[in-house]
Amino acid sequence: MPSLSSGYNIMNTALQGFQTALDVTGNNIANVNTPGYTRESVNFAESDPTTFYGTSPYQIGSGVTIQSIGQIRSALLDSSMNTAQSGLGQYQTLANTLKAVQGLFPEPNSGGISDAINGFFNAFSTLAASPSSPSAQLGVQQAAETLSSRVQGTYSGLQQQAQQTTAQMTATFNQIDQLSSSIANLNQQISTQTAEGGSPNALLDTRAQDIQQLGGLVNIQASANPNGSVNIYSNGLNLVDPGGATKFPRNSTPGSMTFTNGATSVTIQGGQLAGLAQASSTISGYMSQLDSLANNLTTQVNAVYSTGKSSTGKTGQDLFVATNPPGGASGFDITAAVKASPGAILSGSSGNAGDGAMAQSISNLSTSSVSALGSQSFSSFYTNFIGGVGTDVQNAGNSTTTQTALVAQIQNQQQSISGVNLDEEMTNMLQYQHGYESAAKALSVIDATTETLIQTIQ
Amino acid sequence: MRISSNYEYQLYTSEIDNTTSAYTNAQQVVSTGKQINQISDNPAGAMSAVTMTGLQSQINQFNSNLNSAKVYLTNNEAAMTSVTNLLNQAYQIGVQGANSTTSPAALTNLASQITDIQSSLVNIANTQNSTGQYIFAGQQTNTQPFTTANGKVAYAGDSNNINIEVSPGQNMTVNTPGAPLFTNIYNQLESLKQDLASGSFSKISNTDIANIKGSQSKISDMNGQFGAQIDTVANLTTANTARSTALTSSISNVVDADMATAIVNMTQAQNAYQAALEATAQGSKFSLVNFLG
Repeated sequence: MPSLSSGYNIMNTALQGFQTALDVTGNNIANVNTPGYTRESVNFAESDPTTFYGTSPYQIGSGVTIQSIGQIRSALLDSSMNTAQSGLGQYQTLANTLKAVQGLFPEPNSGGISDAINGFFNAFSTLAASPSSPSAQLGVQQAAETLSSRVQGTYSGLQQQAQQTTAQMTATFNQIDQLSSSIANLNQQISTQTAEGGSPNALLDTRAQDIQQLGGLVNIQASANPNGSVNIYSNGLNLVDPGGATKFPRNSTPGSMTFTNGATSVTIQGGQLAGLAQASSTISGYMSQLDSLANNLTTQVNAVYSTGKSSTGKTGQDLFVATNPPGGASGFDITAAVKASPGAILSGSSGNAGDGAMAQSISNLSTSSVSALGSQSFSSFYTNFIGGVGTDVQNAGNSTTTQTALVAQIQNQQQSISGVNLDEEMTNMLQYQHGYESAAKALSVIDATTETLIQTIQ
Repeated sequence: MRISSNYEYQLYTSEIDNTTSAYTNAQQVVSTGKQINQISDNPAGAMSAVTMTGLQSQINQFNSNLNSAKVYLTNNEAAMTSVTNLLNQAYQIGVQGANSTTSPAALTNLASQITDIQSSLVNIANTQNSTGQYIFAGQQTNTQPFTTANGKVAYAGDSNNINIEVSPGQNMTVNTPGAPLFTNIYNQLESLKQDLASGSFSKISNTDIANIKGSQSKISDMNGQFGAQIDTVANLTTANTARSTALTSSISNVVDADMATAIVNMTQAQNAYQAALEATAQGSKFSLVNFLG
């Protein structure tokens, strides 16, 4: 036979339970705008019933108990999010870097290398039409200087971008190591608290955010351990495991996706780090194209120019500085003699003042195909090169758009499961409030009943 | 589908971001008047614009060369016209001198007129263009080609041509080396002068006048040729100008925006942006809280 006082106990568990539920609802509302917050819910369960022995045994519940305050999250979505984030990190970084690189090429507007190439060959054509005319000679000197300084300037812009990319890579390595060690720390705290029977929701949220951020930096996989810790793998490297965090290998040949520290090497496939590695390899490709342009201009133009003869009979002079090995785009410059006096610019191979044949041969190089440049003319080589730059930027931009949409979609799904909805919380609040009110009412009825009994005894 | 409150606002934000960015891009097209502002806007279009710009710059260069050729040719033509006038004068003098009744005093006078004509001829043969180049010196354009001494003329130029590329792979010769042309005329005049001085009437009428007539027709042929060349230059220039104009319009078709379309696009983008703002203002009005006592 249950005692009167057991009613007090049951109502006590109810009041406490609803109050906790209201607290959890309040916490959800409070964190509606907290990044990475996963909504929590109270898992109620009936308390162990008491068994009574009448004509036959029967059980009466002893109230409600709170089993746990759970997080509502999907492990599958978390893992898809990691993949999507690493794709986004890669393409966004690549797109941003290449967009900055594209800024070095003003085409199709004027002021670029393509204008300078046209101007250079045209200046020689003008010289051919007016051999030994001082203004035509000055025109050639200036056009050659414009061409070489634009090639040099563009090249040094690319160099700066490459250096910036390297610096960004170092920063990314630091971030990766920092996040790995933060995850390892959180693993330890979470597994300790889990072992003690707790549910460290705030720590779980922080760790989930760290993992997501890490996934944006380099492609990773996370796998959960029974003790609540997670292992993080990146392309075969144990970045975080029960032993702690491992530093990410940092050495690589420029442009390569493989990083090594001597003992271990990792070939990455995604994330900001991959974007930077890809950008750095793309930039060095651009640099070597400019080198080819500069070296071939130097060789081809000099080969013709050196047949020129001065009025004093001197031959074998160069227009562009020729070095062995070739100086590339950074060493592309007109010779000191040409720089010092435009009047020394030659136009013919006979030494005659009116001979413009050599100048015309140089002007004709504008349309001749150069075998070292894939049998293209200088102009079409350069046009195809910058077309490639534009296409690279466009592709990286398109991939970024796709990845952004993918991340948004997964985020939508994640938020759909884990995010706080205020209307829903308000509804829950009403529900718990009414529960609380009913429990309080029931308590007052039990109390009144007890009162009646006591008065009867008096 | 369950929507979290935070995500609802994120959606509003991202929608506003997207429409703002589309609106800004459309505005850029309208304000710059260009649909290709950087290569990645349309790599193929940008490449063809760059190629066409290169082609156009080549064509414009040919026009500049054609202009140089025209200057040479008109200088030649003007010089030849002057030479024709001199030859006409010499011919008249020759005809007068061939008359056996002409007095010795008159013959001396005629001979001295020929001396003046000779020195005018040498002046023409030493014509310099506006940049100081001798136009009848072959390729020795910095050297004065003709000097005279004791009734003889010496040529310091050479027999090389000056060629100007006027269209791809096509050269036009724009000069006439001064020798033997001017040397021959000078010598013919010298012989006429001496025959006048010595009163060799039959030689004047049989040889000297005939020689001068020959030179007259030669110069006339040359002038005809210069005229034809000047016509060619004018025709090529006109054709190039037309091509260059056509290229300008082709480049504009690729690079420049169609303003009507650009403005319609901008208005559309503006509407989308407005709609996103409207949706945010409307959607965020509703909350269960509004209905609770």
